[in-house]
Amino acid sequence: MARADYISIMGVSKLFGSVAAVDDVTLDIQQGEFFSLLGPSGCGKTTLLRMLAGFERPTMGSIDLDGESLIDRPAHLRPTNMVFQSYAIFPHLNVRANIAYGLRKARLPRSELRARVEQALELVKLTGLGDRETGQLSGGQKQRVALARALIKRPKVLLLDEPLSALDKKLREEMQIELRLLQQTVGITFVFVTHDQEEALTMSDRIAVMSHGKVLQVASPSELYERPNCITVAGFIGQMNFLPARVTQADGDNVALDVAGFGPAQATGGSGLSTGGEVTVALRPEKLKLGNAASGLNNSMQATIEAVAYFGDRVHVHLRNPAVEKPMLVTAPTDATFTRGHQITVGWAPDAAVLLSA
Amino acid sequence: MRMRGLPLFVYAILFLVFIYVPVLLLPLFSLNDGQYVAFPIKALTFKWYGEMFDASQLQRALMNSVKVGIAVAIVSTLFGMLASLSFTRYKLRAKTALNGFILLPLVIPSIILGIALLVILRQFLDASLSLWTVGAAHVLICTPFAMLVLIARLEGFDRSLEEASLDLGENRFMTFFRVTLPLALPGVVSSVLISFTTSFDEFVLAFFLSSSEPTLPLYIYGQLRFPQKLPQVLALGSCIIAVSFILIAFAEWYRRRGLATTPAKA
Repeated sequence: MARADYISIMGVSKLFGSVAAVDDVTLDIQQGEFFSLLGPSGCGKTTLLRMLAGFERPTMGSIDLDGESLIDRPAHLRPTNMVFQSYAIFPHLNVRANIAYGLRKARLPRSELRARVEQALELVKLTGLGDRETGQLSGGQKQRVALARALIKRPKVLLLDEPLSALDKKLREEMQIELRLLQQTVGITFVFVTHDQEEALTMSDRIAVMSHGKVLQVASPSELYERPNCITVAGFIGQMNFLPARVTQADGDNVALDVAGFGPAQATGGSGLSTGGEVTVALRPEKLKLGNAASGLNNSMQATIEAVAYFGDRVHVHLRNPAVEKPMLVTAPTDATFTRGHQITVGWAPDAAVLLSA
Repeated sequence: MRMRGLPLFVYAILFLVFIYVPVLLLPLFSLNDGQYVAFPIKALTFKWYGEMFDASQLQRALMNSVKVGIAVAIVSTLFGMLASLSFTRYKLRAKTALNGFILLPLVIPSIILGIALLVILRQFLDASLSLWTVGAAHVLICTPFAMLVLIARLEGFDRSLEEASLDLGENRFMTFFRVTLPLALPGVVSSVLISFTTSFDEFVLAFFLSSSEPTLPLYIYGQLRFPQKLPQVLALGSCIIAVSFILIAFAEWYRRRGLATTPAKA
């Protein structure tokens, strides 16, 4: 059965000089999972991945894979394989020799070696390109060679270091779907590093959001989106409106708030808050309602439309909230018309907001 | 507009003339049927080339230089490779100082180096002079060249290529032979050629450190006392120019080919 702690990272830190690139990270990755490490550049996600691969040694902590410690195992003896950001295709070898590179020690008979390379080529849809020189390959094809070269080793874990970042948008979106399908086909645990939150959301089973060397939240994509646990995560995943508020009455899960611009408002999810405390109300643009749609809602205010942006399937409406500096962003269906400078009612349901510590 | 480029054009032509005309005089007079290097050319002849092939001492000196040159090229490139690997692949303490010490023989006047080595070999080590001592001294001055060429090459390629090899199960030793060396090969070839020509050409150290077995530059210098032997030397010089030209052309072709296969840094 799939182990929940197939990869177990315990209290891992990595110091470069006195700077902690990775700061006391503890997390478990399940067998067969598509797991993403998400964060802005410099957050430590690549360093963490390189520690899994064996290119960096943790300053503190331990890493176990399938019940065995990896710490004292050099990179070449680890059952992990990596797809590099630059692909790292060997320029002096052709496609076939690149893919077969890691099989030298297996000492397979020639016919079996050939069959395995063909199989790998087919897996990444490069059938017939085995004899190509790597200089003739496009970025997308190099990417596939790098994947085939890693997967042919049948690793326990495949590590991917921002493999899609060098591709153009259209190709990247195709590869996202293909990678996801590939992962489900081979059933290997994937650990995927990315700074692109959309990419992480569409591909992953679970995501660890990192910032300044620390893991802020580990959750499924929908949970990260619906229930972020702090302002950093909420701001990093998708769009979010943040409004400062004061708790006027705490009653278990339900709280009465005084929200900037809105005045008195009701919200759920307030357990643990106490009367008089400061809190940040986080509202997704699609959870805010406008005009007639907002009419039945208690938490509402009048606001001025500052800007309108048309996206085809939806409209982004920017509203002036005199209590906060940044305009509020609301997404609305395209059937209503919004005019710049007009007043409009904006409101939200008590369960639409996420309450985060200020 | 064209006039503005003219002074530079003239300068370039003059530059090439000053460099290459003296060199081209060598083959010209090697074909002259006369003992003295002077115009007018009397008649064309290949007899000096014939005499050159019969001169056993000359051939012996040539072979000495080739032997020393090949040995020096191999040893210097090996040392240069080890040094440049340690500089580019490992965190070294006192890296700058070490680098400086290895490069130092490049700027020490070779006459001083020659005397110092002679004193050490004779007074302290009590070693007898031979082609071995010449070779050892040449390794000293060729290793910096080898190292500079190889460092440039090793720094020029994506480090993740070596990491990829480790990741795919090869240890550092095999990674060197399967990835690093093939990719550094153009650098290795340049290093071998530069070391060989440096040694082949070297006079001062060879003068101090050789025994009765002369290298080619020593032999040529010795022959200048005998005017009748000079045309032979010119013939030999012409042959060396031809071989150098072919070697350099080959090395350059190889280097360019190497550049084309080098991946861009990520």
